[in-house]
Amino acid sequence: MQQIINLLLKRKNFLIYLSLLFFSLFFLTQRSFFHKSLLNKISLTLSSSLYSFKEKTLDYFSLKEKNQILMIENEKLKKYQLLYQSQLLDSANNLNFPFKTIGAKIVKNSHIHTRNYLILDKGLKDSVSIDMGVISNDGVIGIINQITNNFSSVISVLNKDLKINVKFKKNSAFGSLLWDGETPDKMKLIDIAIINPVSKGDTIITGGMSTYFPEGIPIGIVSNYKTLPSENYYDIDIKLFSNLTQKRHVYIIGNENSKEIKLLENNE
Amino acid sequence: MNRSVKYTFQFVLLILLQVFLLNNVNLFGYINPNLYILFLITFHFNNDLSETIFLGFLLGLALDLLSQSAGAHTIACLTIGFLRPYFATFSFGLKLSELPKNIMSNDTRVSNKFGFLCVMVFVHHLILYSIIFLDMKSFFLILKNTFFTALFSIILLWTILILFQTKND
Repeated sequence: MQQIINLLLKRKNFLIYLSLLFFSLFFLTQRSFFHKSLLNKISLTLSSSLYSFKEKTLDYFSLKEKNQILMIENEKLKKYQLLYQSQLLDSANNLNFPFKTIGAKIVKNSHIHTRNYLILDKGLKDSVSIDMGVISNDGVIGIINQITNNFSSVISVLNKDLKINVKFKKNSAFGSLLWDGETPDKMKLIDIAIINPVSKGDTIITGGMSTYFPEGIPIGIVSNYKTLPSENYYDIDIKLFSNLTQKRHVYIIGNENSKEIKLLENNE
Repeated sequence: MNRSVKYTFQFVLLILLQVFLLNNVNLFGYINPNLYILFLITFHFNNDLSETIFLGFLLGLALDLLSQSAGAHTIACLTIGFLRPYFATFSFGLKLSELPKNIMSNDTRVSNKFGFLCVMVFVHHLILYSIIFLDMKSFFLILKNTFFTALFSIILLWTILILFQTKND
């Protein structure tokens, strides 16, 4: 300790000089913007090079962990790539996919009436138009029926007036899906002829026979079915995949060919 | 007491002269001889070397505040105040303890005095202009300013020293 104090006393002048120099530099930077910015630049250069050196050094210690994360990520991406390729093969003759999607948020939702409507926060400004379909991440929501500049109204699938063209995933037997107004997770599938085999647990997907939805969106599974003795059609109960009472984000999908198809339908 | 009054008077007078007269010379457009370092050149040598460091700092600070410059004079004066004993021992070829109290008096050799003056002035000006420009692009501008301003400062300082020659007291 004594030695340190002696050393400090010996170097007294130098220390005084250094402290006054720091004060002068502070004084200089306070009074001159040029010197201040120059000093800031120097400090930035110094600190950034130091930090980048530290980062580079520390990077080596986490390489194993990062490799594992990348591996998992790659597996996932590979899966998607394969899926995409198989889909391309399936519809090789139908490459121009005519549907475009617009993300939207639900402003108002209802499921307690027999005719339910939703309101979305996208409207004319976002190039939404009437008769576009609305889907969620795991199912169908409804069809746009009214639009203003900023909002649009959707007829929910939970509406007695709406029928949606659906089909069985296993054999493409198609029918219509409608809501009987009971619980928001059950719907009725009608118009399936009894010549088609039906069993519990069969998956129902959109049929693609309307301009509203593209083919193949999963909707639900068969929970119960019965044949009416006097008729040639099944009466099937469907349990929906999606919980329509808890949706926040949906996608509006527009069919770019819908005008042409409509024109043809009107000509008939 | 007598000496400190004399130094205080000299200190104030040199700063006023520098700020109100010499900073407005603008010879050839840019040369303003710096007379005020005369204070640090003629200040007496004693055992307490930190005195000149403080005084150099104060001198530069006063000049910066009065002439609205950023802080270059402070750093330059502080530095030559700190380096003064090294320059003196170098110029006079003596140890620090052997140096006469008044090194700019008649009793010391002219060549030693002139060498000391030149080193002090050049180092001061070099630091001053380096800090004012502080840019590698203006390297030659710094050298030019240093050389010519220092030249005129030396002429002025030497003239003043001859006019007011003092005996070693």
